[in-house]
Amino acid sequence: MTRVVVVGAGLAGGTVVGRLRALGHAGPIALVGAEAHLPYERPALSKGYLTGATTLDRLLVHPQQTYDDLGVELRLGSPATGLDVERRVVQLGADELPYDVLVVATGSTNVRPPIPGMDLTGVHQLRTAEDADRLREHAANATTAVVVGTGFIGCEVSATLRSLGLEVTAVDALPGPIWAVLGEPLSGRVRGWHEAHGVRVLGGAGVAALEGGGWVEQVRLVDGTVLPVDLVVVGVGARPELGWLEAAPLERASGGLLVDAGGRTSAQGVFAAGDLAAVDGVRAEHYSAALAQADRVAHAVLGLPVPAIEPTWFWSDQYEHTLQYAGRHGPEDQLVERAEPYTGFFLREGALTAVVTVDNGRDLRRGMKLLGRAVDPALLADPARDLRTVA
Amino acid sequence: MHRFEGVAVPAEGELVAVQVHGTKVAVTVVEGQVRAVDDECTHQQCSLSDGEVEDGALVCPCHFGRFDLRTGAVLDGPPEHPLHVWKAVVRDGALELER
Repeated sequence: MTRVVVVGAGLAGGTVVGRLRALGHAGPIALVGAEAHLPYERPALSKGYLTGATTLDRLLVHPQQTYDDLGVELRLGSPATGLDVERRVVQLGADELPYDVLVVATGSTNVRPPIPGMDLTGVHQLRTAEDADRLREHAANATTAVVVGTGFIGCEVSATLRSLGLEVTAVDALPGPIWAVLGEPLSGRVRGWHEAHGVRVLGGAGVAALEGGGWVEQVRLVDGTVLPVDLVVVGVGARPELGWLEAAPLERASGGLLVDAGGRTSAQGVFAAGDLAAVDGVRAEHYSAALAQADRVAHAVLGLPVPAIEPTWFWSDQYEHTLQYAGRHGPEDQLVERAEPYTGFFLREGALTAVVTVDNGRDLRRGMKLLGRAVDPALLADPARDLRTVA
Repeated sequence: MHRFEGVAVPAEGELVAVQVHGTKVAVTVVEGQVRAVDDECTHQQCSLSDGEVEDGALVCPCHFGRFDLRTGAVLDGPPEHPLHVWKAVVRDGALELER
């Protein structure tokens, strides 16, 4: 029987083992993870898990019982160290794990920027539950935080630390929050949320150094400004976790592994899903993409017709607001807005390329169905117009 | 059994929320049949009456988990657990729910 090994015990890895069984795979399955935990959902690490409002057992992709019931062999706390696609074995340190089918789902690792002082105590990055635990414990005894990077993680952590009572300054070399993804005017809207809650947002503010003797004491900006601090969080992006695949002859794209719609890499019997999978060359570090890719890989592994690629979408919860975005727009696309609740539509040559909503998941869902279609901008801009009837 | 006088029965595919003894219930109509489920998504507790009805399924507005409105079963998306389905009828123009 076909032996499937899934390397990477995150959302994609945890989901793919469940989907394989649901779709009828009867052979052995092993799930290998570097972390000691069962696969869990990471989005709450910057929010409810960070405040302590929710616990890890509530974030599990499946409870332990499910893996027992499905007969999945768990190799947790056991990072893969190499891959031999000729002999079809995964190396786990001195151990070797043979496979017939391999699913690579090792996700991302945080970018560690080359800023002096990153090693000081009190400087945090956020990827794992343990990272969040350390940050929570430190935040309980801190009063002043600087968050470096105002992408989604930086914005969410800023909001959470503020809700815990800290004085927060959020800095970024780019002009404003979530600039790289959304630009204006959404960036200004998000900045407004933070400022309304008392967070100082500094755009165009590159960090020169983190300074202190042992513990971090201040953040020095490129323009010479010094921010006294007792806690720093650095969230400046992620890159695919491919270190264990350095020697493996797998074709790359967009910094990850090139795969087709079914998650097939360039090597026979090797599939990939999640953050590191560049589907037809495009990577998406999103929850919805990990779920959908895991499902498509499970179909492909079993030789079933692969479900169509749906638009990816993501959300970000900050304070009382939920921002959601689907599709993919370019810098030249026309923006059509409707208020309130806010919805933005991006159009290219008259066709919808992306939709973004604030506190309005229903219209995001409706807007997603319009992606790729030609839509009259006047109808999109009219808040009274039901999005189910515009095209 | 709980009877709602003066609560408008939603139109086909529209959602309303009602309270029954402290529990919020999402109510809609699918193919002329009134359907009611617990309003709280089993994934991250979002309010499902802010979601969308698609082809007999209820879609959570937060993370797009989909539930079968007839059985409460998870169809896809992140939720692990089904929704509780309420017995729902319209009698003499008024909505009646029973847990």
